Amino acid sequence: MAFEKLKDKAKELWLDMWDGISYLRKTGKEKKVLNKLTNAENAAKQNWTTLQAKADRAILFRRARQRKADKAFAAYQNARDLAADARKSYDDLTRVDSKGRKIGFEKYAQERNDNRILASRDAANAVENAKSGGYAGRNLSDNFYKNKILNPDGKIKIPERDDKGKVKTDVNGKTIYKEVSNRDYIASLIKNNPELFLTLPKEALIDAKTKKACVTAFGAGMKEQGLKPEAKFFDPGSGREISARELLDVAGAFSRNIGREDARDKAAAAAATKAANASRNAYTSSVDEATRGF
Amino acid sequence: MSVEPVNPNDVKKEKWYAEVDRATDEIMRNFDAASKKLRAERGLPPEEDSVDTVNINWLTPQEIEDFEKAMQEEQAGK
Repeated sequence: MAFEKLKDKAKELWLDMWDGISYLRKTGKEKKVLNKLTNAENAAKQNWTTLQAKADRAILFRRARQRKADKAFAAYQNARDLAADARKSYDDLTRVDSKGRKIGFEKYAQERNDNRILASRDAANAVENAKSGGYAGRNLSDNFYKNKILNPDGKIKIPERDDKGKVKTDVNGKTIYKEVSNRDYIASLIKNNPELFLTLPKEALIDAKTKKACVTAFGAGMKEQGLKPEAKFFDPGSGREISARELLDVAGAFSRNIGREDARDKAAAAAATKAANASRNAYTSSVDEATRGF
Repeated sequence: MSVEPVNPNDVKKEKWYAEVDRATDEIMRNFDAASKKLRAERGLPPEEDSVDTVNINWLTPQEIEDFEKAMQEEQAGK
């Protein structure tokens, strides 16, 4: 019975549509309406392309920011070691001047105006500067990832909006604010862009509630954003477009590797150690060279 | 007796949804295992098992934009 009813309804709608088209033809408005429809369709396509480009840029920005923070922290660690060496060298080095007094290395160098020693001092200063820069980088990283993102219950106030997206105000015209948590923010972000799930810092997953919220958001997003398994997403890992089904596989692999130190991390750590050793050796050589003969 | 017609798109959608659910269950299991390992390594107590459900207040794209802006302003010390 229900099928018969549906059939009748479809027939009714079909006839209505033809009535509408006949009316438009009679009144000569058909072309005008078609033009309007085409324009609306083109505008929608254009908006979609802009949004897609914006989303891609946001993902790339996040990856770059993470890489910068990692790099700054590695630089800070290297610089801290080098600065400790430099400070120790300066503290240990004392010389006896022409009057038989025991004086510090730097003063001795200044008195003699020895370029090699002064160059060595400049190198030590550069190391100190690098240390300060490294601190700044590390603090930025801590602020963003620990205080903002990794504190899932942390709250921030944002303007409250009505159903039409307009900011709500009180009787005095002042904006009404509401509090939102980092957890809700992360979850909403992932729901709208499920591929962002793959850019989460590994540490964020220690909190059980956030972990659950992220996985729930990922599942909801995969169903809502990509209704079909063939829907396309931008994979931030490979930097290419992948289908929703492929994204599921990648997310599975990502989850299996959480908490594991993979080969790429090990290679990066080895390269950083090698670079730190090379810098330290270069500095030690410059001090040796500068102090030779004293 | 009449038989309700079945929309093939609905069947496809259901199958896809089931596939997503299976994958997300597996992801959750992997995360649980990783969390246990990480917490044990750092000497932290085990996670509470009571977190069965989590209420998410989904934000609209506009609210996400507001949040990002507020976060940047706070970061800049405004």
